[in-house]
Amino acid sequence: MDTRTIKLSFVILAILLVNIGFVLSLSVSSPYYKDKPLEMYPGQEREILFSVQNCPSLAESCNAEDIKVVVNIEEGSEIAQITSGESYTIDYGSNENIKLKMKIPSSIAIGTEYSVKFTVASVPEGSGGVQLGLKYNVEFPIIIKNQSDIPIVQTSINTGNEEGNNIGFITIIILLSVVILIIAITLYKFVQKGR
Amino acid sequence: MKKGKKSGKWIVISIIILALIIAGYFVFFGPKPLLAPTDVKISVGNANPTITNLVPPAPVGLNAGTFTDVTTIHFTARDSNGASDLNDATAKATFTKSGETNRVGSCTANPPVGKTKTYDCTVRMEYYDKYGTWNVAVYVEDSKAASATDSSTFDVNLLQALDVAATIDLGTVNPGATDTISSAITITNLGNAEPPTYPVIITANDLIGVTTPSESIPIKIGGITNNFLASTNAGTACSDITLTDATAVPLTGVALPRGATGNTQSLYFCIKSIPEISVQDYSATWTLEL
Repeated sequence: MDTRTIKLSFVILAILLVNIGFVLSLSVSSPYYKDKPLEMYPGQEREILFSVQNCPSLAESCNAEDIKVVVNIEEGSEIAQITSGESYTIDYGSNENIKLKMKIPSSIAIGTEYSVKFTVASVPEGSGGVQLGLKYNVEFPIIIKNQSDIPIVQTSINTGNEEGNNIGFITIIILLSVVILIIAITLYKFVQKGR
Repeated sequence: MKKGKKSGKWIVISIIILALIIAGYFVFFGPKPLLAPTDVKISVGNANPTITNLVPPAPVGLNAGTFTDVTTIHFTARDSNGASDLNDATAKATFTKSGETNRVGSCTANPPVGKTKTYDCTVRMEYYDKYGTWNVAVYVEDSKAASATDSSTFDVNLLQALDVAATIDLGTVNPGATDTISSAITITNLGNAEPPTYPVIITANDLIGVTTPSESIPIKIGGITNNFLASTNAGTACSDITLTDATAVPLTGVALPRGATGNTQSLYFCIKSIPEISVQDYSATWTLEL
């Protein structure tokens, strides 16, 4: 092995030896996905949120640094628009929301199905060697329905309010008693005057 | 005639007075006088509590690699015997989904309002709990162990979450070397999305010279069309999954089930042939997708 080869080997060795133990921990939480379509009606506009997290577990293995993230719409841009921007810096241990504004044309036929797909990808920070990035494919269908067929999001299920009914009943009884008392007093005075 | 009429009148009056005396006797002095003081005993039985209102959680977004406390569950219980008859210690909320571990949480009571109490419950979910529709059931007992329950549903969001080394360690590399295998990188599934519904995909690129970009360690080199390969096993790293330049390739065989255990996978990369290249830095960015 001549001097040149030794030097070359050493340099390439130095280049490709990389620090290990630095772990990338990026995640995306999605309210809509392949099995859970978003139902909308013609002319409807709404905003939906997707949460991007940077190591919320604060695990020791995570790189305790911010992660730069880029979001790109790959499908469905005719009805979906990212309103919160394409680039994000996610602080270590925290999360950021991607806001997606959905706008369905008024003239669209009932039963039409769309597909929206966007990617959330980390931007590699290091240099040299093979940097590994993470990318998530967020994809969900949109089904166009009649407005009346889209259930209103119900956050409270009322199975009856008995206490409220009782209070109403007692109030009516008290009111009636007061009215009867007033009539009785009026009649009594009327009779007294007559004498 | 007048006398007869008068006497008849007195007879009727006498009969009425007699009837009143007899009736009065039975009312006031008879064997069971109607108006005599008496002891009245009424047994009031225990009334079962009821749940009059249940607020299920809004869609739950889980935290990657850790637990999530779901605190937005509220229910109102009523007991006809009084709110104080409700046994606060028995109040609980349970999340269930077919095939999943039940998640049970306790509840704290707010001050009573009339005969009702509203409970705020907290249920802890794990990052690997399946996405989709879950059932929430709430429960409370009264002091006589009579119980009330009610249920509803809520959604758990999809969580795509991978933990992976940010760099691939290719170790010692010499020009002309063959079958260079990287150290293992560990991929961990810290979410509830899993293959094959959400496959793991890799996109590789040539390693480009930083000083002289015309030089590279390419994916296609000489007679070797697929210079970069990957495998879950070091022994087959140079013969398993072939990577294609700038093209997404599914990592078949990569099992990354969701769960607290068994959710990690080792991955090895192989460079079949290192060309005779100049002394400079070579780099590339590869992407792992889910």
